[in-house]
Amino acid sequence: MNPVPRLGDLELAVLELVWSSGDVDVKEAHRAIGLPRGITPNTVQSTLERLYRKELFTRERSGHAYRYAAAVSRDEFRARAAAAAVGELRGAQAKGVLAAFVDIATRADRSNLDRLEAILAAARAKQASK
Amino acid sequence: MNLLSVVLVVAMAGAAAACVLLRAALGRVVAPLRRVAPGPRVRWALALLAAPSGVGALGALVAFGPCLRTLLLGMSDACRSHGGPEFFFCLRMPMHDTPVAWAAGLVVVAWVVSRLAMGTHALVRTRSALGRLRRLGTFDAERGFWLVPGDIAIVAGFPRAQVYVGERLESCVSSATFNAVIAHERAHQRRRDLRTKLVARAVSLCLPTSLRTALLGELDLAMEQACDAIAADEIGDALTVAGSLLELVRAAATMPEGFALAFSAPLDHLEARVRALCAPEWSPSGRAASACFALCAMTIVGCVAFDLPLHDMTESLFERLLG
Repeated sequence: MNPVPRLGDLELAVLELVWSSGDVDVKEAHRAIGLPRGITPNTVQSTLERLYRKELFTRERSGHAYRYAAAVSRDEFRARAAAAAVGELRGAQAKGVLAAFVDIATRADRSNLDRLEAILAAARAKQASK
Repeated sequence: MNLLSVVLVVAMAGAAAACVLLRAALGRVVAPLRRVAPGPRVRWALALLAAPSGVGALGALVAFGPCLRTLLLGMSDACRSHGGPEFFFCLRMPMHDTPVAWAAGLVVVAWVVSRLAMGTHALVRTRSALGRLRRLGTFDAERGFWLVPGDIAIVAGFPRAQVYVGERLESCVSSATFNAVIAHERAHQRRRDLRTKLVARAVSLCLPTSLRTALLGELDLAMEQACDAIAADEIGDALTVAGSLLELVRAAATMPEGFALAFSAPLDHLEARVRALCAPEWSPSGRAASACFALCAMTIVGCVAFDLPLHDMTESLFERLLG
């Protein structure tokens, strides 16, 4: 899974706007996000350009302006961003800064899992007979 | 700087000697250690990890003890008793300054600073990654954890550890398993296991990598088993917790690449946890703990009682090695 680039607050806000309202141009984005934050249209335009260069937006010319649309869905973006964050945490476990419920890298060995299931089944049978 | 060099060299020499003994004894220690109940075993593992640093600190105290004592109590200087115009461990006399002592001290300082920097960097990166995860998720105030994209179940964060659970996890596993997972992670949070792990890593910096990894692995296993036991008490059935371990490992085989949080770990930890939940057979460690405590107490009392002869011996040894 390809990681998504890290985004700032304004970039995320613009992404959320496009996910919720479909494609936008600079004026619409500035009206929705720039005005409440006191940001100029140029800043909003730069943000849309950056997101396009990061391959998170597609764009189509509409008259003199571009209309920007999301290239990834919200769910896909969240999944890829989470996977990237989780990937960074992999090294953290070795540094002792987190604890996982189970070390899932033990997934591979089916015969060992079967053996452990048998131990559990025997314990359950013993518990039931008491 | 030279006083610091000498202190560090003495401390590291003591720690190195303890590491050699610990490595020699490790094979005989692990099996009996695993029969100790998880709660006390965490303390044992911590003690073993801290032992070399403790011995090093004791070595430095022995070396400087008499001088510190005479300085603090305003007594006459005891350093002249072993002769010589210059001394390594006398705070009132001119320090015996050698390039070897300087170089050794600098090497130790540089090594300690680099290890601490690496640890701090890992903490900073973790905070950043967790911050991004929190922005993607929501906090379930009722159940007390962060619900984030993916299939993870972890407790992370410093100084305040929080539980992070993947949104897909609840739909991937049974409700009994999900409850067991949450109970287990909350147990880590309540026990402050992450702080203990950080302290363990800090005090064991001077251990060789293989020894440190083995002992930290035993500490991790003890903590996991302790939290398994707490989860078993909370949900009322140890076998459900054992089953949830296996269900999660099997479910991980179906998780898409990049979603599951996968770490490397020895398979025998999973087996040890399942066996401990199915049929716990813990040996009492009270007698061994009392013996260890008595040994440590006698060592400290001996070092204090014979501080001057030990100081003289250390001074002569260093004069021969570094003079």
